[in-house]
Amino acid sequence: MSELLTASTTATAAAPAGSAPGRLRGVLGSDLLWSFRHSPVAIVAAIVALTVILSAALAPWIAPHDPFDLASLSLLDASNPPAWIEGGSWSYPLGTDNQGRDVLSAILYGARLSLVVGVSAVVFAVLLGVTLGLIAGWRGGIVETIIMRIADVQLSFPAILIALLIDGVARSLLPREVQAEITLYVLIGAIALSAWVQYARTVRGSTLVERNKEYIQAARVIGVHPVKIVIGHLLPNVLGPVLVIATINLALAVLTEATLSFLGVGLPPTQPSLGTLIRVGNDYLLSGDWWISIFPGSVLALLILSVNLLGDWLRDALNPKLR
Amino acid sequence: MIGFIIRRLFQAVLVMLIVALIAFALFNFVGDPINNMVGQDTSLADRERLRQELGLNDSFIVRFARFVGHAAQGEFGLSYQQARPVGQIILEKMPATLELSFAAAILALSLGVPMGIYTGLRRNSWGAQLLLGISLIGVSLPTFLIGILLILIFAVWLGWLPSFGRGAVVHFGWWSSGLFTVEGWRAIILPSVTLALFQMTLIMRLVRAEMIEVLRTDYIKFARARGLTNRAVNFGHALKNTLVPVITITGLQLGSIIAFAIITETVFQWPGMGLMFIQAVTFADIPVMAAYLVLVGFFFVVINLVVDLLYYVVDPRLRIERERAAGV
Amino acid sequence: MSAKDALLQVEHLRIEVPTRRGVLTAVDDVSFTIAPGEVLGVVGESGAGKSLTGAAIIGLLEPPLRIAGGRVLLDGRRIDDLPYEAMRRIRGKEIGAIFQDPLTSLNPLYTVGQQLIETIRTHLGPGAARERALALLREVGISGAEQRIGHYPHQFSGGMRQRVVIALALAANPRLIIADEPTTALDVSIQAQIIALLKRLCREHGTAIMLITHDMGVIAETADRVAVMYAGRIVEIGPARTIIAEPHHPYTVGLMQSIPRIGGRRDRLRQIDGAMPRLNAIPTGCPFHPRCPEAFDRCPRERPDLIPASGSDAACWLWDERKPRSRTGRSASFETHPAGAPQDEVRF
Repeated sequence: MSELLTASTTATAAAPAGSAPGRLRGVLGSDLLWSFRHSPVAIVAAIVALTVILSAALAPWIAPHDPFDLASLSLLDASNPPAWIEGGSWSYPLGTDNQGRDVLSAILYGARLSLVVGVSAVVFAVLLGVTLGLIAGWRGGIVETIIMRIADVQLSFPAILIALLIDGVARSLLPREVQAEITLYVLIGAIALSAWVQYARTVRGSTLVERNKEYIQAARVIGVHPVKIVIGHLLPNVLGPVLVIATINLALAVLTEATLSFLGVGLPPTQPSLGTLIRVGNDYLLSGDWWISIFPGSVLALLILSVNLLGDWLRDALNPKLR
Repeated sequence: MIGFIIRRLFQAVLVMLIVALIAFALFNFVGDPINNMVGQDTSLADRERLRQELGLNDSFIVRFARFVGHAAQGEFGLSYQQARPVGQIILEKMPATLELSFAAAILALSLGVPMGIYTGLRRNSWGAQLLLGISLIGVSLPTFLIGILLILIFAVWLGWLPSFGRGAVVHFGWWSSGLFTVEGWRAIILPSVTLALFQMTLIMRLVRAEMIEVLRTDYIKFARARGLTNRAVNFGHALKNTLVPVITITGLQLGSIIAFAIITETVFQWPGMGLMFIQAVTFADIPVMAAYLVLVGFFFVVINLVVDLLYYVVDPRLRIERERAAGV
Repeated sequence: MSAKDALLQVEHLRIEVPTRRGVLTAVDDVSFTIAPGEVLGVVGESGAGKSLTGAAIIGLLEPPLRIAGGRVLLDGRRIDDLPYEAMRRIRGKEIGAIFQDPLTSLNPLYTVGQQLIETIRTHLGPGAARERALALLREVGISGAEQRIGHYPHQFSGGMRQRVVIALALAANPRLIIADEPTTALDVSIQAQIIALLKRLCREHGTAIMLITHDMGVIAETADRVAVMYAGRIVEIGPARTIIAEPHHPYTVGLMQSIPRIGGRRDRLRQIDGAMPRLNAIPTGCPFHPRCPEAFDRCPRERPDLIPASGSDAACWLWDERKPRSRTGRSASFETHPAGAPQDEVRF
C-alpha cells in the first residue's frame, strides 16, 4: 500500500537515480519547502528562533545599555521592576538587577553567549561524531569495534553527567588564573564531547548501508581514492539525519550550557550566559524581585522550545516513511 | 542463558573498572594529595616521608588496586573540604537523594505511561495534541527553570509549599526519611515534580512513538482482520508489544533521574548527593567527586544490567534462540 | 450466475487517497462478484490496486485511503458503510483475510495456541476453544499439534507459519477469505503445498476465496474465474481457463506471452514495453493505450468499460461490436526487447 504513495510522490522529485547530491538537492528544493510553508508550527517556531538569534547576534548594537560597563551602573537604579509595574521606568524596560544592570541588555548579551556556546558545541560534536562514524562504518574491523564500544559505554550515562564531569575535571586540572578566561572553551568542549555519540552511531549505520550499494562499489572499482568516496558520495547521503539530530541537539546544547551555568560550573557572572543570569536572579526570587531570573528564563525557554519544534518538523519532513 | 548472564556480568565489571580508573586518575593527577593534607610549613623531608607512608610512591597498578579495594569497602579517604571520611558524608546524603529519586520515578511512570498510551491510540484527538504540545514544553524547559517557576508560584506567591530543604526528618539507624512527617511530604512535592517532569514527558513520547509503530505492523492488521475486539487489539496485542522495548529504555531513563537530581537538589537546596557533588566540584574536593563518580557509575551499571536481563526474560524470541544455541 | 446468488458483490468501487499534491484515484470503478465456494483470482502487477480492493472489502483501508464511491455487498447487504463495531463482527466470522508475510502476521510474543484460542473465543464463545484450536492445527497439517500449540511463531518454519495463519483465518469458519499474495514470501517448493492446502480446505468448508497474486501459475492451478487488474481497473474478467488459453485484452495477451515456456521455441523473453503508470500520471482514455501495440485513435479518447468478448469480458475497444476491427496476428503483436526497458514479469 505504501508503494502506491511513494510511487506517486517520488515521481515529482526528479533526480537521476543513484546520483547522491542530486537526490539531496531535489529533496531540499521541493518537498521540504512545501512542507515548511504548510506547517504553521514550523513557521512560527522559525520566526521566534530567528528573532532570538538575530537579536542576540546584534546585541552590541541594539542593547540599550552595556551591562559590562561598570562605570555606567548606578546603584540608584538597582532592583527596578519592569517598566509596566509601579517603580519601573522605560529606560530599563525589563527592570534592573541588584547592581543596576539593565536586564534587557543582559539578556541580549547572555543569549549571545548561550548561542555561541551552543552552536560551537554542536559544530564540534558534528565534526567529531560524523568523522568517527564515517571511519567506523567505512573501515570496520577493530577500529569500528573500539569506537562503537566507547560510544556504547558513554551512552549508558546521561549526557549532562558527562558534561559535568569533563567540566569539573578540566577546572581542577587548570590553574586558577587561566580558568576564568578559558571557561568558555572548556564548556564548549565538554558539551561537544558529551554529544558526539549520537552522530557517530547514526552516521556509522548509514555508512554501513551505503557502503554496500552499487555506486560505491563502482567508485572503488574505478579506483577513486577512499577519502574522496567517503566525502563525495557517502557524506551527502548521511547528512539528512545528521541535520535533524543537530537541530534537536542545538536545543539540548543550549539547555546543557544553561544548566551548567546555573549550577555554577559554567560561565561566570562576569561573562554571563542566560543560565548564569538565572542563577544570579534566583537569589532574589524569595525577596520578590522575580524579573531578574524570570525574563532570562523565558527567553531561554522560548529559544529551546522553538529550536525543538523546528527539529521535530524537520524530522517529520525528511522522514521517507511519512512522505 | 547462564552464558548470557555471565557475559553481561563480565561486561558490567569491565565498565565499573573503567569508571574506577577515571575516578582514580582524578584522585592522583589532579592536584597533589599531600598538598591538600598538610600546611605550607611542612618540610620537604616530612612530605616525602608522608608520601612513603601513604604508599604514594608505589607503582600505578598497586595504587590502583589499593584504590579499587578501598572503594569496594566504601573507603574513599577524607573530604578536602570537610575533613571527614567521604563514606560517612555519602551515607548521610544518600537517603535524601534516593527518596527523591524514587518519588520522581513513580510519578514519571504512573503518569507518563498512561499518557503515552492515550496519545498513541487517539492520535489525532484534541486531547492528544494538547498533551503533545505540553510535553514538548516539558522537554524544552530546563529542569532548573521548572523548579524556579514552581517555587515562584507555589512558595513565593501562593505560600502553600516550602521552597527549600527537606522538612522534618526521622532517623532509622543511618537512614533518614522525610516521608513520615507532614512537612516532609510537603517538602518533597515540588522537587519530585520538578525532577519527574522531564522524564515523564520523555516516557510519554517514547510510549507513544512505540505504540504508533506497533499499530502499523502486520500482526495488528491480521488481528483486526480476524475480528478481534478493539480492546483485545489495542491492549492485548499492541500494548504488550509496546511495553517490551519501552520497559528497557525506561529503565535506562530512570537511571538518569539520579543525574538530574543534581540540578533539582541545587534548586531546592535538597541535602542529597547531587548537592554534595556540585559543592565538591566548586571546591575541587577530589575525594568526594571521585566517590560520587564511582557510586553513580555503579548505579548505572547495575541498572543497565538489570534492564538487559529483564529484556531477556520478557522477550521469548531471545530466550528460545539462546536455548537452542546452547543445545537445550 | 445471477447477482442474487452471489456471496460478495463489488459495484463500481472507487478508492481515493488525498496526498500533498491533490487527490489520487488508486482504484477506479471496479466491479465483480464472487459466488459461494468460488475461487476468484485477482492478478496484476504491483501497484495495480489488487491489495487495496481486498482491504476495502474487509474494511481495513488505512487512512488517508478511503472508499470514495461504489458499494460492497455481502449476501445482498451493504457492508462498506457499516460502523466499526458491526464490521468487526463480520471480520473473521464472515470474511477472513490472509496476508503475504507469515512471519510478521503473527504476534511474536504470544504462542500460536493463545492466538488461536483468542480468535475462536471471540467468535464462537469460550467453550472447547482449545480442542477446536488443536483440531484446526491438525487440519492444516501441523503434526504434533499437542506440543506445537504452545510454541511461539518464530519456532515454526515459513511454510508452517503460513499454515498457522490459514488456521487462524479459518478459525471462525468464514464464508469468504481474501488471500493477499499468500505464497509470495514462501519458498517455491512450499508454495505448492500451501496452495493445495488452501484449495482443499476451502473445498471442504465451502469457503470462497479472493486470491490476490501476481503469479499466473497459482491462478492457473486454483482459480475458477480470473480478474486482471491494471492501473486500478479491471481490464479483463472471465473463467480462468478461457483467459489463460485465449486472452482477449492486449494486456492479458502480453502477460501470457511473457511467461517463459519449457520446450517452446527458444526466443528472447517477450516483454511489454514501458511500465504501469504512476497514480498521478494515468493516461486519458484507456490507461493501457501508450503500451498497447494495437491501440488506435479511439483508445486515448474514450475509456472502455468491460465489453463481452467471446468467453470473457475485456475493457478494450477492439471488442466493441459497434465498430468491429479484426485482430492482427497475435504472434507479431509484441516486440521482443533486450533487457533495459522496465518490464513486467509474470511467473509461471
